[in-house]
Amino acid sequence: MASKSFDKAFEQLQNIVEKLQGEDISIDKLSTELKKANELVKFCKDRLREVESDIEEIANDAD
Amino acid sequence: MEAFSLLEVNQYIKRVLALNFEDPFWVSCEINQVSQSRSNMYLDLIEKAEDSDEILAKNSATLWYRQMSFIRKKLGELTDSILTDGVKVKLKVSVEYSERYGLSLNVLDVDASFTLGQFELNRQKIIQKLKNKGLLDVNKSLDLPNVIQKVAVISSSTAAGYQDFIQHLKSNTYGYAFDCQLFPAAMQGQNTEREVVAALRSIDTDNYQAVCIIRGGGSKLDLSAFDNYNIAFEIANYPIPVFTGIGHDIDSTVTDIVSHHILKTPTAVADFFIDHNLQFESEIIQLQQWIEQSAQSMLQDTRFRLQQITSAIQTIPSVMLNTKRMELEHAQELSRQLADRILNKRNTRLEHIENTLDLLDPKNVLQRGFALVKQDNKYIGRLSELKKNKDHLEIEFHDGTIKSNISKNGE
Repeated sequence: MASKSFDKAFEQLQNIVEKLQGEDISIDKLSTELKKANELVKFCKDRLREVESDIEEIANDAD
Repeated sequence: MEAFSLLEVNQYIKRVLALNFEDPFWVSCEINQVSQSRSNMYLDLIEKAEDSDEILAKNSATLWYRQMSFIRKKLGELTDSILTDGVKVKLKVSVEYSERYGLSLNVLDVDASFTLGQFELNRQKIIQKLKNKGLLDVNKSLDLPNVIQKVAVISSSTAAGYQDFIQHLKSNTYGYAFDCQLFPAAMQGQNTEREVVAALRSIDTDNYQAVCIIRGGGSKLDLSAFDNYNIAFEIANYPIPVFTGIGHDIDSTVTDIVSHHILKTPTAVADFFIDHNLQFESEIIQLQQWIEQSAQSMLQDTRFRLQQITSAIQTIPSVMLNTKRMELEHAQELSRQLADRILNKRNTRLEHIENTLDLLDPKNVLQRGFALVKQDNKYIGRLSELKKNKDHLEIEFHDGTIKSNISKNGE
């Protein structure tokens, strides 16, 4: 997961949502998919925090 | 052979002349030379061929003091201008003959309008000739340098106009430096043409930016020397701009007409040079101000744009981050909701199946008052399934089982 990019993770998340919207999913895999979706959300949020922190650092350097 | 004495001959000539030239008359001619002695003026009169300098006739004339006073009173300043070398005149004369001194004409009056007319006629002829040769505007077509500082001056060193010109340039309030060199020449009279042309030819035009021909004020006839074809021809073909300040109020001389700029007086020429240089300096100052303003404006624009970019840099990422966060939260919420919905649907379907199964469970059927029939421990659903050689049956109710014998069948 660590080597993934935000964009790729987000794309996977969207695919899961589409799959759930289409209800084309086996119950056995439902919890797995949901778990995966939550992991992706966490990864993406972490990446956003990292980027935000980088931006603040860059802005402080520019000042 | 009898011979007459010279006196007799001269007396005879005197009588003949007296008889034929009883009254004064007007004569038109050119003054070749003038000299003065004891307030009397002695004129050498000539008549030239129309198209050459060949002298066709010549005579002496005298303007006695008394007549001179009369003419001066009548013509004022014009007197000296008319009664000078090279001027065409119309004179009222009487013929005098002295046995001792010979023939002479006594000048009694001068027709100034004739001389002025002659000058104007001559002037117009020269202008037409220059026009025909396309020389009137040649010097005017030369470009003036941005700054005029090196000036060749054609004038008389003793002329007040020249001194005024030099003084005016020196005392200019802007502190401009001028490098003026005098090329002396007569500014009126017969020598003007020769000396002005010689002065123009002696100037090394590579070392000067302009030439000016200047002299103080004078009468119209004083300036007549500048109604001259050769001077005009020289100026028209001159490689640098020629300025005139030869003093006149109404009509321009031919020299003025062919020059680059006509100015009324020497000080006006000086003012022109000063103003011309001032204009260039003003343009330079304006240009400098424009450059400074443009640079300031560019700096300000760049600062503003940098500020906008900085602001955008600070704002856009946080907007993007927030948007992504919202999208994530939405995706997370949506995926939960969708999973719940799928679970609920599947659950509902299960419940439905469960209910159906419940309904179909035989125990539940027995409870509703139905009974099951068994024979040899096997449920009998149809009459045909009954074994005919066996008459025992078990009937199962929800609350117990009874054994029964078949007494009669339905056949």
